[in-house]
Amino acid sequence: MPGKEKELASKIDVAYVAELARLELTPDEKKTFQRQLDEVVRYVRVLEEAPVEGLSPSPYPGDLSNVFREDAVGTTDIQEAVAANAPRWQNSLFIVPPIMDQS
Amino acid sequence: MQGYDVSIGLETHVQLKTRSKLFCSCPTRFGEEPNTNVCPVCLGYPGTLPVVNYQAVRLTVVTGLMLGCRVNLHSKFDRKNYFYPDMPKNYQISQYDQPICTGGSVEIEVEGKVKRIRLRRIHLEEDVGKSFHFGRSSGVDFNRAGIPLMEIVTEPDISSADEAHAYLVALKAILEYGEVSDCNLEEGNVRCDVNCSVRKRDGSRELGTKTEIKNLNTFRGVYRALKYEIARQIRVLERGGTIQQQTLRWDDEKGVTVALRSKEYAHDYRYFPDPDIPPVVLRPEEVEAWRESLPELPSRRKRRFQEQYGLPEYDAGVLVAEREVADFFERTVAEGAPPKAASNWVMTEVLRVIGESGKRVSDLRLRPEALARLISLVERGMVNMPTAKEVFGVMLETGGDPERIVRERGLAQVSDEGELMEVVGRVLAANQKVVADYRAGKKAALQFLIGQVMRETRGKANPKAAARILREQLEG
Amino acid sequence: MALPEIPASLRDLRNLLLRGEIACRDVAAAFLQRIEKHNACLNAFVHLDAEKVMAQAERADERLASGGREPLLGIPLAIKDNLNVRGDPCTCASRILTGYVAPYDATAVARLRKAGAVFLGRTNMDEFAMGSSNENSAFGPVRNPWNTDYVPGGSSGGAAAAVAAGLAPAALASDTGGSIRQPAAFCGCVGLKPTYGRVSRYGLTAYASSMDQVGVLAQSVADAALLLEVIAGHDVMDGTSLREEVPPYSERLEGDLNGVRIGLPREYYGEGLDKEVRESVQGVAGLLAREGAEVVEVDLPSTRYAVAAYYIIATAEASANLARYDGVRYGMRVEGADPIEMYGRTRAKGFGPEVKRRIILGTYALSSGYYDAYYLRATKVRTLIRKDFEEAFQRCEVLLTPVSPVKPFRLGEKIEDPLQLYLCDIYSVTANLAGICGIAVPCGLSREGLPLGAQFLGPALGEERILQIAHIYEALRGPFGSPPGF
Ligand SMILES: [Zn+2]
Repeated sequence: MPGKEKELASKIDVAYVAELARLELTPDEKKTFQRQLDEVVRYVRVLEEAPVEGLSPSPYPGDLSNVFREDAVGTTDIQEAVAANAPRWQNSLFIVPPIMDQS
Repeated sequence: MQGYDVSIGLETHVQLKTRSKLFCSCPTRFGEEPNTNVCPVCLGYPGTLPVVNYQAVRLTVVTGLMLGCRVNLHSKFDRKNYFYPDMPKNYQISQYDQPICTGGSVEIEVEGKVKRIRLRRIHLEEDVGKSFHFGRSSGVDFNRAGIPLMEIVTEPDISSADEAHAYLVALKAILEYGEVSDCNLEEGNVRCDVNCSVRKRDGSRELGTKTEIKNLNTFRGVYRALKYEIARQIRVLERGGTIQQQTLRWDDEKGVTVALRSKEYAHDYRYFPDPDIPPVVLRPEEVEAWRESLPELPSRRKRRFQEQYGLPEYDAGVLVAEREVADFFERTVAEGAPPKAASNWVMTEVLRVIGESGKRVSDLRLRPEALARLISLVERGMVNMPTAKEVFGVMLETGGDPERIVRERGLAQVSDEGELMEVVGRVLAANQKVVADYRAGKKAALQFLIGQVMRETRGKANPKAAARILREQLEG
Repeated sequence: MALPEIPASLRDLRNLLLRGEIACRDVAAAFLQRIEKHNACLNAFVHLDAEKVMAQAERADERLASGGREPLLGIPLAIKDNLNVRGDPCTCASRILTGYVAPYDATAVARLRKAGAVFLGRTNMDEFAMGSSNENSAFGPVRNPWNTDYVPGGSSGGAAAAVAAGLAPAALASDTGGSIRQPAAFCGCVGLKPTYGRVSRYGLTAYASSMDQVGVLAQSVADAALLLEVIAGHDVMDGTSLREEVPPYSERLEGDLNGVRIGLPREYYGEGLDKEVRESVQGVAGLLAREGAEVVEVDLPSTRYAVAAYYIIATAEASANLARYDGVRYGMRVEGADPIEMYGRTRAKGFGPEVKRRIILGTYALSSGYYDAYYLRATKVRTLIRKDFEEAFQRCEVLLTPVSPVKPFRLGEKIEDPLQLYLCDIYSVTANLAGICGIAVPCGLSREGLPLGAQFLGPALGEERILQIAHIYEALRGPFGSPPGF
């Protein structure tokens, strides 16, 4: 995140970003998205013109703060649904392809 | 190591003592059937939202107060984005640039030298699930996902494996004192990532290249891994090599660190404020109230034990290392036991039992008031020491009352003048030759006769009383 | 079997049900029949279990018979396919949620259920609510009932088409950047986006968490008010839900316009606004002025940054929100040699092109080196936009604007040019950025005979006022009529 503010590229590195987002793209998709998103990125640079100096960001929509729950245990009855929804399920575990870099 | 400076930083993940998870009401119980302590929220089901457990925030602040941190009145939660099968949402809710606490320190003592390990920050985050590996596939259990962890990050102030170990022991004692965590290592309540670098002491200011050892879950593991890694790095440098910046894991069986076989994928956590969680704004009065109700910390309690109970520094240090042990000692004293005697019993017998059984003091069937009564029996000469230890053994097993055990098993010390007189008479009659030796000036013979009295009474005779009566009979 | 004529308003329908002049099962059957007849053409519903609908209706009849008086007892409602309903699929019109069955009710759904509503089925939408034409659906596009060559708008295109065509009296939906108001405008029905936090988001599958809001599509302002009354209010399961009391909106609709100041933001009537849309919204202003309202011009100078800020914030949040669709716990999976390969393949096959584009854009906006320039800056622009509205609402009670700068357009017309479509969101995204409330009401027909819509915007928690003014306008305007053939 807040790294140094790079020169705003007018191009987006679609291949790199898709990898971060775990999206396999076909060569066609890469080409199309590159063209379309370059255009979008060029457009959103209008943000550079906004007079935001000294303003604090609004990552939240309102002014709420301090919303908490009490430390109380509740119950759910979703075990069956959880198992039924799992693409692969065995011995009460979600089964996935082998994780290579385990410790 | 000769000629090298070592810099170690620890990131310690501590499970907070809450009943429910950080963002949902699932229980935090350990050891349940996989994927039973789960709900749509902690499984990252579509449409679910996190709501912060207030207790987790309070415990993190309390920790910060105990460790002398600055408590940040404004803090927020951020999303840390990366994909991993044990991550229900493929982002972890954590705190990035506004943690709940910053600064602070932990005091350690190694080889008589006191040192402060500075802290960088403490933040709150959710735990991930646990994966199991079966060769051709892996399995994931999300019972642990969403359990509140606080991450305590030190500055790289630690300069040896011993210091790292001492830091963890001291930290654990404080956390237990504050009742912020059970610090149960077997249940993975405390897990460490360790950064380590070495640098030749040749005046250069350049820092050495760091390696990181991930996910160590015992203090001994941290110690051994660091011993190994420091030696390894020095060996590499001595041979003229360079240290690779890498992430390692500790292979406890082989006793070596191993580079993680991670594919070279891009890492960029893309932290941003979690819009589902409004910021946390603590009121100064709220924090002050928590500060006022802080428990006495180990270092202060140790001083008090020395002053109030007249205990030697060593004893006080041993007793306060664990809050439960210190509490047990104090309750024994409060029940009337003399402090030094209580301290001896706790340090030798109670800690021995804990060491051997791996149990916690609270798991023992022995109650402080019972121990105090046992000590009182010894003090009043009702039982002798070997018998008292026998009674202690029975108390541990049955949780019984010491007087009753002594009575039921006929273990009471015989101090009764008449009864002892009778035994002495019998012993003297049966050992005419020894009696003659004694009277001829061989005073050592008395010990043999005392031994015979003890044998006759099966150890129950009060040795002092027996000696006195024997002497009277022999010399009178 | 001859089915009864269904009255146009929920209140009338409720009265008939309460008086026993019509049975819940007859009402449900009537709507099922209409759906059966028209859905093949409109593609408004993506999931419907007629037996389940009838079972609910039977239960409602039993409740009625035993004296049940819940406010929506026996009233059928359609639910957008991104709101979780226990036991139902909830696909968000995405392949990636194939097979997922919701194990819980969204809070808004639970409140409707408790109020006695009968759930008709799940409505089509743009995948994960990303789009404004309903062409981005794994189930194919929805068609506008006024002319099936035209788009219904989006992302709640299915809900809007269903309500406009009378396949459902009303629908529960969501609005992140106009997803209720814009399809309402395109299809000629009422679309209400409440204040952020007014209705719990719990159970609404997240697109952009800081802007998503649950709302309703209805045939009249009064119906929308009635439904909002039921679904609004604090929810402990949503940390962003507001605690303020819920007024009885449906009882506060009457009033007059004397002394009411209505603001027309200059920036919403400038370059790029379709002439017909402009004229019809200006017609609304004229009508209200004649009835005593004072119409004033106001400024919202940061409007020109709104689309850019919206697309950065929304896609950034979406890139994280949609990371959970990975093939591990629910939904679709394409196997791979390791988890990373499985993720890449599952998401490649599971997501459609618009979702992929937005995930890439959002990931980029948060990535190292770009965060400050894009995400952080966009959230500062959002502060500007909030300030703009705060100032404007000092000068007037409500704002009157077009919903979209364009008229309903033809299917396929803009699909190749995402940026052009994004730019069309200019008048609707601002309310989501600022968290304020808005309502779209039909205000005319284009030359092609397609609906045009006007939007009333109110400050945070200003629902009561915008509903009232929209209701007054609706009465002045008179019946809008149904699409030909429906
Ligand atoms: Zn849970």
